[in-house]
Amino acid sequence: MASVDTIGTWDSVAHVTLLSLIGEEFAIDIDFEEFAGATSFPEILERVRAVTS
Amino acid sequence: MQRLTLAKALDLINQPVAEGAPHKAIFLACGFTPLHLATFLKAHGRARFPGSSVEIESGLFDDLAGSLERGAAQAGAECVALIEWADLDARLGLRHAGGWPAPSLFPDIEREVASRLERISAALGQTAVVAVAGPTLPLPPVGITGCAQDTAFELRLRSLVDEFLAEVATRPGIRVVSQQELALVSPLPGRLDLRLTLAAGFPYTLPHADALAGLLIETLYPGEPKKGLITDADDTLWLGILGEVGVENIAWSLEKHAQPQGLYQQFLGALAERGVLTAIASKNDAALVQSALARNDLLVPASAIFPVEANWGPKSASVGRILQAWNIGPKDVVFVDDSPMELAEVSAAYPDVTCLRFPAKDPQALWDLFQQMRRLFGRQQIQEEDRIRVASLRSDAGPLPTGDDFLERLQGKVVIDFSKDPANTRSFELVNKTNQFNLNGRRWTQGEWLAMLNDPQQFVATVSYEDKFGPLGKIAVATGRVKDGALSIDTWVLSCRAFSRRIEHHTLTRLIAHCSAERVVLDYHPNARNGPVRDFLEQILESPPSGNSPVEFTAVLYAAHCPALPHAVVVNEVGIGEAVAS
Repeated sequence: MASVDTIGTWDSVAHVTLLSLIGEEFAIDIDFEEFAGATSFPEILERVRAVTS
Repeated sequence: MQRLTLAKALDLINQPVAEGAPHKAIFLACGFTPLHLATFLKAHGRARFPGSSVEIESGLFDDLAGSLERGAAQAGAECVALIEWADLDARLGLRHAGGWPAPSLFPDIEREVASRLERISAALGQTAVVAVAGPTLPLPPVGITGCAQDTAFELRLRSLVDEFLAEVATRPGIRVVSQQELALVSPLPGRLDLRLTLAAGFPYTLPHADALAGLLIETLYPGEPKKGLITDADDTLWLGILGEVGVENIAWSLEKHAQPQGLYQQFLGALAERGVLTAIASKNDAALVQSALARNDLLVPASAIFPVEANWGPKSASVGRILQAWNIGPKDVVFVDDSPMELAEVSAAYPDVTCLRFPAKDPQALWDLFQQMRRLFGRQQIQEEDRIRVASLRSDAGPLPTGDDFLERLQGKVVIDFSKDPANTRSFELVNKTNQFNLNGRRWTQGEWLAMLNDPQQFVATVSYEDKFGPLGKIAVATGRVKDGALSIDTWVLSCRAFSRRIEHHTLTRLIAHCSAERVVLDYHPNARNGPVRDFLEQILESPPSGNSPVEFTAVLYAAHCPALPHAVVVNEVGIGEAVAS
């Protein structure tokens, strides 16, 4: 499962870029503080579901 | 300008680049984390130069001036400098803890802003080519008045920045992004991402970062300006059908409810003044059109319009004859007509001609037309050669006879200038827009050109010509170096207006003499348009060049095949430096 531990290029810049992409794709406002601790695909998915529900 | 989403930008960036592909290096100087701006800059750069690799290098966080000074050391790279209010005084940003700017701090903030602008100005003085933008974000609400009212403090801050931008815009190589254009593509309310500013030090929303990056790339690498405009007459250049209402009743004034046509004529006059070729293609009686152009209240000088094609044949045929008279290609031309049918007919015959509709019944659309024409004809500088181009075209009666007697009677003078002046952009313009007599078709970015000017081992020879018919101005450029008795020329262009005068022979003869060269090495690459270079080389080599660069021959062989040189030659050696030994 994709996470900061399994993908070497997943650094802080990539993290912000990924969150910005998700915000753009799903047309949602990303609270970066809230997503700061989401460092794996399941964690990000959980937070996106919470925002979009 | 193409608009990109972040996803699309990343797709563009991740497209593979062939090994050995051209490379663009852009130095980004800003005081914030580059993040999405760097992404969009790279993506727009890739879109602007398909097949090329683009790298963005950035400077130090929170040190714009220091980053610019560092960027100046990157020889050959173009720079982008973004100035936001926080770069001029941290108290005008949102990541500081130094206290909200109270009125007691205003004088100190003004002094700090002025001081930072001075330092940025000095840093810009050391860079090659820079696109400067900003501030693009709103000032924080520091004024003591309500929001509807500007305070003198805020106005003075903006005035300091405006004066700074107006000054740097006069410097060669420095280009300021248009705030007006930015406002059209990225309205002010949608620019600031406060959440991302606080979380990651990047202040822009995605749409603003995209719009700004697009304009920066467009500013850094402007497209080649169009050279000529062909206009319809009836209900375009003037209101009314000439053949129906007569010469006295066509109109272009506010009183006659024809101000759109009057504005259009004034716009064409301004284009003509800076050297844009202007012609008429009209389905009309030729004598009537000449009478209309002789009216003394015309707002575009009739002398600037050449040729005038007024006949009853297809407009595409008129356009073809105009292209021939101008000796330029369809892609360099804009055609304006109020008739969709005429536009479609010309476009079908010449798909590369840019066809624009004159909005005869929609004055609002006239604004958009003028904006579009500004984009198409925009250039960095007006050259003296541009002003004399129409006059020289009028006096040309087609290709010159090439007999020795005729050429001698021209009383021609060739001036070869070796000075390297960055402010003289005519040479740079010539190498980038000349196609036919062009040694290899190479195009230069301004950064590459300036780096070459700064190389003492490289010479630049700019050639001017005049004869008894008048001046042609600067019409040829050659660049290269001398090594081990060999004259190596890597760029050589000659304007097609100067053909048939043996200027290329004069140029090469003088370069060989100045270098005391025994051999000539030309970086020749054949392409679809540089047939005149092939013909020139074939004359020397007595056979077509093989097409494998470089082409080499001895000075002795050249001298044996060089025709008589009929003109006087003057050489300006200032700046010749180490590059060419005399």
